[in-house]
Amino acid sequence: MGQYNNLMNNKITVEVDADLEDLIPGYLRNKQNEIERMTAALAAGDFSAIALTAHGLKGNGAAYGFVPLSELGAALEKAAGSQDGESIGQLLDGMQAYLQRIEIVYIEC
Amino acid sequence: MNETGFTLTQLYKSAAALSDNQESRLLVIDDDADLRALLLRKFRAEGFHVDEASSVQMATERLYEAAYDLIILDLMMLPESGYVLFDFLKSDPKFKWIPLIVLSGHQDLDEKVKCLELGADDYVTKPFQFRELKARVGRMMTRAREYEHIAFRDALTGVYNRRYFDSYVAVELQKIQRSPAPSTLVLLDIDRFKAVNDTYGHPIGDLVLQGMAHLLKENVRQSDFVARFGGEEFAIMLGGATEEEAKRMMNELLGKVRDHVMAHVGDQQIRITFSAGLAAWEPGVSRSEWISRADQMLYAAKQAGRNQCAGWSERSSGTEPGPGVGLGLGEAGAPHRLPLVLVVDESKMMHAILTAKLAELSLQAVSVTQGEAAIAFVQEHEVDLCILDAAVANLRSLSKKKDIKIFAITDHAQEKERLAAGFAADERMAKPFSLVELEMRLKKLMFVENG
Repeated sequence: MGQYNNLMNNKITVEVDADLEDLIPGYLRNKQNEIERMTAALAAGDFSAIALTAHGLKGNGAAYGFVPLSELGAALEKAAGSQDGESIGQLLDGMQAYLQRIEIVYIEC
Repeated sequence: MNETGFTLTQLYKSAAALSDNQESRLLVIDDDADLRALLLRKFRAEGFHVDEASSVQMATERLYEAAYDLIILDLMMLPESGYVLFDFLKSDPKFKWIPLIVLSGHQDLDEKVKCLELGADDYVTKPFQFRELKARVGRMMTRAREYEHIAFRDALTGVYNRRYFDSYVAVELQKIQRSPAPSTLVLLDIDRFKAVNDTYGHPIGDLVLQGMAHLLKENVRQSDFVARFGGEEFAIMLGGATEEEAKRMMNELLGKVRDHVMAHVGDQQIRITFSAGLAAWEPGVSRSEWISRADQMLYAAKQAGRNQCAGWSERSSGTEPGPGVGLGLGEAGAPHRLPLVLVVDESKMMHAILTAKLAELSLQAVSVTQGEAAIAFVQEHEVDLCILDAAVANLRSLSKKKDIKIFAITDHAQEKERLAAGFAADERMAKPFSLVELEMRLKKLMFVENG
């Protein structure tokens, strides 16, 4: 499962396992909710809540086919550990941008 | 715990696991709903039966409800850490043998090492790709089956071994005691197998055994159970079959065996026949009595000329089988007495081992430690078999007595001396020996003429 930048329309094409197709909408909704939760937690200074959510994101992103989400999760977890609010803000922006740019192509495994 | 020392769950599970078309059961324990959803979906697509748990509490409930073949456990869970469950699994005999893969989001080497040392079979760090986890699970399931195979199967023929047969009969018995159904046990022995080995050599003998096992497997039903019971003896549990049905099946099989060429030696075709004893279970019959009945009918089939099957329900009332029927004391009407075995050995441990085994086979045993005592004893008593350690002195005159069978147990050094001294034995066995071998040789000596 790979992903590649589609230079024509600034989209990122992500190849996802066809077995997971019906799980994807729910998954992406969850990720959107996670961005919102982490944003709220950042505003409240609740770094441990951010770390918790980030830990889960790190664990499940790559498995679904979204390797950058796992990387973001790892970075967020680390930033939350050092209470680095600024980095967290940037990472959350990055996550939002990623979710907006992805275009999914289902591949039989 | 029943008499075999296994719990009922373990017996049922291992009996089920060894049948080829059983689905493997996984338990996925992780508090991350997204990952759980993915693992359930993907493993089910691979053909596994998968259950999930989102907490230690839920996982514990699941474990008591069903038997799992493999557990995937996330260590970083809330509210209770996966380590709590890890501890629980490894300290409970019901669960400690279940293959365990732990998942962790930490890249900590110490943690990884600790988990492996505590008994995790594998450790996968998140994030991971499903492909990797699938490969690890697959390897572990294969290895678990291989271990079971080694423990429960006969290496030469691939059928179950004697050890597994014993626990299987116990399970079968509990089943039919609870909900009675006809079940017939068959003990089958290849005719004149010793002659095949002596004439053509052991490699041909092995081919014959493998051929016999193969024909057996091909001609019984999925639910029937085939084990190698001894050297050339097989045991078959025909669950749900009456003695009549079983006899029909076995006679049909015998016909196929007669026609089947087991091996070729030059332009010679090696064929065999077998004798079989059948006994259907009846309420009140214990496990040992059940096996004994089939065994006695096997003996009857041999005595009646071999190449046939004999069922317990057809045994003739004239020769009502009792313990020690195997001796066959010749003339009709001659009173049966228990065969008498004289054990001559200096070692107390040998005496204990031998006497226990002889009692199991319903043979009377008398023990002496000195050659002179042995000689004196046989002057006074009718001894059928003498088991002796050839190292014991002054035994030569014993071997001269024609009507006593001699079974010599020796180590290799003594063997040469014994042969040099012209000490003839009907049967010999080298130390160290297995109890299975001892039993086989005793049976051969006492219960059957020339196999």
